[in-house]
Amino acid sequence: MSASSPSADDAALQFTPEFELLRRCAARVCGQPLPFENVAALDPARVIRTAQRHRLIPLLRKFFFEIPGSEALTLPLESAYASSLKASLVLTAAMLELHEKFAVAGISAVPVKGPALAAQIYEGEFLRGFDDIDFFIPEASFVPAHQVLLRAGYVPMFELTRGQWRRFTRYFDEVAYRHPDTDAEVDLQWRACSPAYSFAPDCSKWFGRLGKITISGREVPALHPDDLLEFLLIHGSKHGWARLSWLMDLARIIASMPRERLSEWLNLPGCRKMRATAAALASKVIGLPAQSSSDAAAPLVERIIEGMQSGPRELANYDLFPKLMDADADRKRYRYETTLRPTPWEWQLLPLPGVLSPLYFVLRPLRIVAKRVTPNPQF
Amino acid sequence: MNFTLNSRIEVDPAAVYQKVGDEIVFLHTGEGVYYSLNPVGSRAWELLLQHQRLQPVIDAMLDEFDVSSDTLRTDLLRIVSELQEKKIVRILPERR
Repeated sequence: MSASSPSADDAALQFTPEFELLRRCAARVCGQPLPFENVAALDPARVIRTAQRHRLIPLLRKFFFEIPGSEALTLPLESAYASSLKASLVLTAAMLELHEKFAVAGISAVPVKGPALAAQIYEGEFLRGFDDIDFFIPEASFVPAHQVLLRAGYVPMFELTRGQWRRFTRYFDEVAYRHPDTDAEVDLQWRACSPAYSFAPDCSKWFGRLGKITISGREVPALHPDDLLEFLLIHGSKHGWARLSWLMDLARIIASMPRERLSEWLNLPGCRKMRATAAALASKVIGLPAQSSSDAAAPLVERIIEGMQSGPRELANYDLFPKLMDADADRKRYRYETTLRPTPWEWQLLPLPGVLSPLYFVLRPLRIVAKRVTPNPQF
Repeated sequence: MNFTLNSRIEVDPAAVYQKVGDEIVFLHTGEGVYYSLNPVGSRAWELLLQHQRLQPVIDAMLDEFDVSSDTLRTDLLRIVSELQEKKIVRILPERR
């Protein structure tokens, strides 16, 4: 493996002016001082919208004063920044409160993403926004953690029976809750991805080597840096790297890795294509030195970069996930899980006794077809 | 509650804060009040978290900044008084 400057074909990459600006800001925090001089004339409204979509309003504000001709951005940026900062403080407070409730209930709940990332990756500085609170919990703690959230007034996205929740935690990885009064969203996650994938990490081991971080003066547990990297890699890949902030988080970590360590990481078994793609993206978008292993990912990278800039529909990028997998068996598993495996939506739509549960495998594809052919399906 | 340079000061459990560049922004969740400290105030805050009392903060800042002891003392007492008023910090009884 070797590292080099971004290759000549980078010149062919097309970035919109507003994305260009954001990627240059992201490059700065990853130790790659790309200049702002060549940033084309910017439409303030488009810049703010793009920065909001990528959750990078705070990052933009940090470098705002260095950007030539950025005066027109002042008012909209300050307003967007104030909203983002207030939302982050409110969610940080909710996260700390919930963490305490989990601790009282004896649950090892690890805050991930959001303020935890700021503490772990950006030395506590507020550089990216977030709109929910994420806790990583041991799978066995799901039921008590669920009860803690219910008692705190959070409502899960599904109303399931006890048996259905059991099935849900076995086959799925996360569930979202929302507080009806504050609109705060909490995600409980117990795996990085489905355990059926060959590359799925054994997340139960992550709880054996937790570290500690300080958020707002309070100590909370944190994933080990290697586990956080794996978590961010799989998370970003699952979502097709639709947000620049996800790539910036990962790029910031790999930019700080010694060369040998990075090489070792890129060559670890499992997730090789995901790692190569992430490294290639970090090079082409954020300006990190290119890695030779990235060549294998080249055809996908252009499509991902296009997706990052194209619009708010991240779901359009979901199909990239199987393409980032190394093994055919994993791609088949992905197709099965997304098209045939029943979800809580089917369980809720048509409650069936256990003996008839195979019917869900018929209902699931029917529902998907109905969703595609009906503009506003009732089910 | 009145306080002195040796009173113990701690962050109110309902307050959260965030480093923003050189500044620190606070929110008291119960009161819904936001408050911010400029870079010098933020440095004082960092030292206050470390020492929990004002006197060592003053000692450290006198080494770092070109400022008279009286001015610094007055400014820091004012900042802590404002933080107390916004319920961001609590003053605990002095250790004997």
